[in-house]
Amino acid sequence: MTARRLPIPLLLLALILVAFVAGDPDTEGMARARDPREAVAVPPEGTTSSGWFCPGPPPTLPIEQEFLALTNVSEADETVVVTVYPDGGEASVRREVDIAALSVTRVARVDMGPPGPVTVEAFSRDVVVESGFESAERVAMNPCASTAAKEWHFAAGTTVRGTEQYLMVFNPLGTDAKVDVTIRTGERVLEPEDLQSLDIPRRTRIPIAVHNYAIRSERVAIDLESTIGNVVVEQSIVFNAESGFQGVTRSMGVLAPAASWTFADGNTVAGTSSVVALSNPGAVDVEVDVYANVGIEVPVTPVTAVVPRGGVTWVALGRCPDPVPDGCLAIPPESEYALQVESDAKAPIVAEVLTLYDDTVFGSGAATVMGTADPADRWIVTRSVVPDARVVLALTNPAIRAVTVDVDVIVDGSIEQPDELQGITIEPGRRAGVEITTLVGPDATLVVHASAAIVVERSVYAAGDLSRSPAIPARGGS
Amino acid sequence: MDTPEPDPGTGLLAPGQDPGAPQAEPDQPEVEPREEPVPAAPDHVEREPAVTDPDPAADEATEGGAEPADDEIEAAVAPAVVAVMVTSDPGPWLEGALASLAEQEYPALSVLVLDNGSTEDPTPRIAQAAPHAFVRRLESNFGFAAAANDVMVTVEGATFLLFCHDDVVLAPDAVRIMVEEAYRSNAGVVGPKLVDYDDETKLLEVGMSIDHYGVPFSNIEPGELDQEQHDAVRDVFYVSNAVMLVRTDLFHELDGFDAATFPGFDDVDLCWRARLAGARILVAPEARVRHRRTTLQDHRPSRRDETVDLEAWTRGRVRVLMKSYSGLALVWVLPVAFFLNLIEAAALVIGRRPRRAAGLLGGWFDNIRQLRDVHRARVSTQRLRRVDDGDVRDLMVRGSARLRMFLAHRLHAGDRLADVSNRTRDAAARVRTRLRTGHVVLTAVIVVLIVIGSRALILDRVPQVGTLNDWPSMGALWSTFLSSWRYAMIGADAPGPPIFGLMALLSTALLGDTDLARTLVVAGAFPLGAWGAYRLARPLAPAALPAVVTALAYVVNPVVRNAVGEGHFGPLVAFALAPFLLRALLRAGAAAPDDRRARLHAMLSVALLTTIVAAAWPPALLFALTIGVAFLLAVPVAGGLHLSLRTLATAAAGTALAFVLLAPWSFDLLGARAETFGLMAREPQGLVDMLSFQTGRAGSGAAPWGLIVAGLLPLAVATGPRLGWASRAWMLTIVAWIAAWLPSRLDSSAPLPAPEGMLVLAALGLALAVGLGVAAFTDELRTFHFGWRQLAAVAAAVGLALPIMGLTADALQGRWGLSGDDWASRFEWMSEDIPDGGFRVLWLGDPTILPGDPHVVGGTGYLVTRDGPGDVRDGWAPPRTKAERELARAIEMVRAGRTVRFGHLLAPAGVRYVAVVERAAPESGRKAAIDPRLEAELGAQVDLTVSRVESSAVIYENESWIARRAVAPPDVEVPIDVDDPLEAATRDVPPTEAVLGPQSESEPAGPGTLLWSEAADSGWQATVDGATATRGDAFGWTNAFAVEERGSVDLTFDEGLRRVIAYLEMVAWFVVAALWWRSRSREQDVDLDPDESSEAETYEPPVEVAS
Repeated sequence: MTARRLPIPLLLLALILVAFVAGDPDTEGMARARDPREAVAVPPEGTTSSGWFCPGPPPTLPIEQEFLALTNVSEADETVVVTVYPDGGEASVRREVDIAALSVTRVARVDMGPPGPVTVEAFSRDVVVESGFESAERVAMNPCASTAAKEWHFAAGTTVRGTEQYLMVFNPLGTDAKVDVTIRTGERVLEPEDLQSLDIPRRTRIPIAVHNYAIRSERVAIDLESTIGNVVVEQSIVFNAESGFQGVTRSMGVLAPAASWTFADGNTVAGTSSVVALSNPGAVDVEVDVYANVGIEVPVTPVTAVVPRGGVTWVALGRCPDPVPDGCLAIPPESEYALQVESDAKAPIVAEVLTLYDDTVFGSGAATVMGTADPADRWIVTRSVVPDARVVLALTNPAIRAVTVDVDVIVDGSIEQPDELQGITIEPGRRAGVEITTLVGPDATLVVHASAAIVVERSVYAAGDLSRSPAIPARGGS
Repeated sequence: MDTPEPDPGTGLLAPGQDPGAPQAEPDQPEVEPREEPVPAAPDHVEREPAVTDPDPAADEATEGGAEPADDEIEAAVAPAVVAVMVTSDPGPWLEGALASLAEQEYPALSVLVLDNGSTEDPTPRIAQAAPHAFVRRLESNFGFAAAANDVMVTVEGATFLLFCHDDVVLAPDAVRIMVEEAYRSNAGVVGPKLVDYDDETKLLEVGMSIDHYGVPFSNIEPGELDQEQHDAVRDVFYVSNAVMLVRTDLFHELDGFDAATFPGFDDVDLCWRARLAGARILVAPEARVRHRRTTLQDHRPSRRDETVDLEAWTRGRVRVLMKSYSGLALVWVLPVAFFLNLIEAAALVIGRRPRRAAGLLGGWFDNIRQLRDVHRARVSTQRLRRVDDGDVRDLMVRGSARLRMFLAHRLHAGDRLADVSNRTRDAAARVRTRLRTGHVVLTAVIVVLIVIGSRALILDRVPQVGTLNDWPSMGALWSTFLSSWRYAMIGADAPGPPIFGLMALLSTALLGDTDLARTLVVAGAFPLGAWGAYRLARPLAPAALPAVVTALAYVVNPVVRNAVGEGHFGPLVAFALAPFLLRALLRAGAAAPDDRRARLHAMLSVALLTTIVAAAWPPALLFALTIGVAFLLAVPVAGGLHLSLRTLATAAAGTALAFVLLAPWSFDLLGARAETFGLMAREPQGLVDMLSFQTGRAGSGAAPWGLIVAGLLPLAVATGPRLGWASRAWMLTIVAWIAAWLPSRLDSSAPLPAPEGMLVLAALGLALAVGLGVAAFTDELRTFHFGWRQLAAVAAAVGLALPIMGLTADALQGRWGLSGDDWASRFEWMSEDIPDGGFRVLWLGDPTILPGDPHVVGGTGYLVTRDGPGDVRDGWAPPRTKAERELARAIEMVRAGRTVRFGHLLAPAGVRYVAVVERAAPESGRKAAIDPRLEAELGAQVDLTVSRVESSAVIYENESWIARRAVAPPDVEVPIDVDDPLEAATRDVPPTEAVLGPQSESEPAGPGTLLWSEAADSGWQATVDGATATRGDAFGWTNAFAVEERGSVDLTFDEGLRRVIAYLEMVAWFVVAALWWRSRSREQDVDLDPDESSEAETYEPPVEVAS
């Protein structure tokens, strides 16, 4: 047979055509995802050891009022290792604490050791940890961080007269860390020299008095990035009498900006003043839409705020002058609402709400709460009822379908399911607020099960202060 | 109506006789004869017994017993020829044509004039010019073919039929010469030389050809003078029916002309069918015929007629194609032909001749409309087939006849082309002469480039990148090969890979200099591969140059530089030895069927080479089979079925033997995970990257495409068997490309081998094609006239120059893109002060950049080395054990955020450091980021501290690590035989004390629990001062021994028969090598020119001058 000349070139031509048309492998979905971790989350299923890192309040606040709430939501007793790293550099204090099945163990911080950050190590995913203040004049409670990370972001801060803003930077790991701190005010971006390449030695915490750098600034947002090592960062704002308010706010930062944030709880009772602080750490200006969903069929016109690159913008929530100026989201008085923040073009931003109560029906005080970027269908609220305080569980459904919510109450070794907390239906985009003060006993833990992903916050209103914090998302669990 | 009786002399019907309808072809136009006065029958007719005499007078004379005259005797021995002149409204040239027939010196010629419906009866003119001619008048003009077919019913007994137009004048000896040539050459159809009617010095036709798409082509240029330059009798594709001598029986067998191919293709069709039936078509140039040529091509019809003519012409051409080609050929011929016509039609439209374009395409649709009729014609044509298309195509012109005619006729470029052709032929000859001596220079260039490019590897240390790990001492290599416990990863009860035996052999041959051995393997791959490519190609051409160019094309391919640059040891070995493997397979295929020793030798060569390459890179076990399959796939293109089957059989046998020679390690590969084969998740690469061999830094830009261009040369210029080998080489290249690319296209997450490995075969096939191109250039191109082939040769030369420039540029660096530094050097501090008891290092990162052969979990590669950065012994990872699964689970746990005590989990394995790398080498190695989630979680572990930060690497130290050999005090509880190994280590790591001294005889240790961090296996035994210690699974996945009393500990693994098997394995290598050596003496007898009979796989250059 005589060899043919044409088939091979044709085959090669076909191969080249295929190469240029369909030769590239399907790499969609292969792009590396951004670190999906959250600062606070119940560890994933199968966890054999977990760590909860509590930087603690500023050293200026009395440790005697501080507590740790250790919650065990499993049906087996657990033992955790609580290690305190004293601020003075003394040897760490390590204690083992037993937590009975389905219970909350509340320990006074002072009983664990001298002032300093705390690490709680558990050996299952069923232990969650919260720390804070709980007194008549100070209520500031929020879960400890479940991970250390390289990036932390805060949007709502202020250093106006009578306020002190602190960052508590805790390095719970064995490697010395170096961090860079960037402070954004409405006017400028500060990168203080002494806050660049700041050493955070292993297993210590360093308090940073932000008010000493951003002096008398109304809007202060903070980004912290670690060039080596991982840290945990918590922000505290102390309002003293000179500020016209009173109380302490604490919030654990978020690990990454996001394009969408949800806040489950808010109200416009008389005497309230709230803002949502929008921080843009990116390199381009961003337009951000802020929506409020009130619990009644009253439409609220959303507002669009421009957040300049590297800047921070506040949008006032509630009462607005007439006509409504830019940067104010008018919400009818005496309403409860949920808040949705969306940036255009999926540009990542940070959103945090600062609320000040001045002699309201709920009392006085201040609170900050970070938004939730990633709703979940299971949440844990470590402490349900605080003595002498009104506690509201806010549930928001950001999805387009109605969800049904059941709340288990874990208390004293058992799981209760009060009728009032079963089968709560939340319409799409709506919020449900349940005052649980009278429904459950003290030191109970709430486990919220939803038929789809929702956002859950807990608000604690005491006479002299208030606290608001997201619940702890528990993904992938039953 | 009665069937008429033919004339008893020639078989012609007597004047006035009706040929009768029954004989008429149903699908041909019915020919209605008219009774007209006809002059007397010819007086000189043949006297063959089968032929009856048409002349009653002559008949009577014979019957009467009278002696025949001389001319009658001559006529009696000459075969009867009936000249069939078809005319229609003939011009004044008719008389001349008839007179020339009448004046033929051939003694047995009768003349039949078929008048095709002339408006004016030509009979009186015929009678005057040729009184003996018969005349048949047909009712209408049905065309030449239909009219000519009339002879099938009107003529009987004639040996030949001479079809001719009415505008020809035959030289007096023309018929005689054609008849003589028909007998001499056993031809079925013979044509004369056609010259201009008015100027006999001008040539018109000396036989005709067509291209593959049916377009007629004559190599006679317009106005070309007849200087006897075309006067050789030769086979042609067809001859014009202006004058065509056809054997009568053949004409009947062919069932005459196909009337549907008129106008223009009736002669093409008849001759094509005659060739299919096995008949020869000849031109006898000594027979001269003047021709007025009032044919379709000659006259300039009106635009409307022109459209109609072109449509009919195209219809006829396409019908011929559809009838005559084999089904397989039609698959590509028709689309290409249609595509060419589309281009032509587009050009006509642009040239404002849309009607002509419509006519051109209309011809195609006419055939589609008459598909059933075409099918019937095709069936009857294919029934005639006695030869295949390849033989028919031998006489077709290659390329486009239209383009050739355009160049020759429109641009009047004939003279210039001839001149250029002569000059290029001379130039090619001169170049060939020079190149024959140039191979020495080229060889020197290759050597210099290789030496310069490898200088840093030769003079300096080869960096430990990828799998180019350091080789330990010769003793350690032997020990690794002979040991029954693999110390790689966490350890495994698995045989030592044969590669360590081969490394040990080489090191032993070099007196234990393992560094030199390693350098030889890495730096020597270039010259060895080049030498192999040279040896491979040497038998394929008489001169050395093509083989040298093959070596050059192989070495300049980026694949080898990328293998070095990426640190891929296995593909490098494959590059060095693949040419020898292919050569062995070629010899196996080419060996004579009865030469068993030669084939045995080739099979043993395949087995030994496969053994070596697969030991270094397990996927190479499929190399020989891939080559065999590629050759088999090339059979429809290149032929050589027997050769391909022999090659495949040898490949299969050689591979099977190699598998045995690699035992027992090869059996461990069965069912092993992909990583054990060197396969791992890699970033998928596109086919473009594969085609350009750009799997690393080398190969960017257009340079690799130049190789492809160069490789196409033999497909353009080679002929015969060399074209077949070029096709096989290309098929191998294409198969290797697809094999390298397709898996990642089907599943982007599939584990893949190092891409350079499979691309080695593509590079080899391409290099062989390039070498064959040069062979064709030096041996065959000089035989061609100037044309696109010469341009292709220039393009190929430029194409080859590009990668040479790329190689030259890469050579400047001196290490082929390999990093100058390596992690082993950076992390040398780990092993500077090895702590008592030893430790391990866990490497994490993208599997493609980790040193050695990492295993993979969740897309993350991991590797474990001992007491430092490790060496080559940590490569060729063993199959996974339970212990390693626990290690993988621990990595998965940390990645998923399910632990903050990774250090605790690693402690039982003695892992002191966790090295996270994002580059194959510091600073300059290939970069591949680690999973960000894993990176983040590692940084959040409470028991890991950052020990060292390098560019693209972080070393964590495990605060909880336990020495590989350690003793826990008696009062400390060690988890033994637990259900959940990781759970056991999470909470607490027991305090331990390292065990000092060698493994076989430690310094006194204990009492307590001896922890031995190798993977838990009951084969491990510990004796303490001679007393056996009880063994358990420490933490569920390593080993624990109860040491009751303090004493010297001896840790051993029960080897069983494995060491004996390893020795047997080596014996088997030597036995096979000895057999190979013994059979080698017959190698010289093996000829790469196999006797394939009809397949004719020879390497002789073509003798025929192709046009």
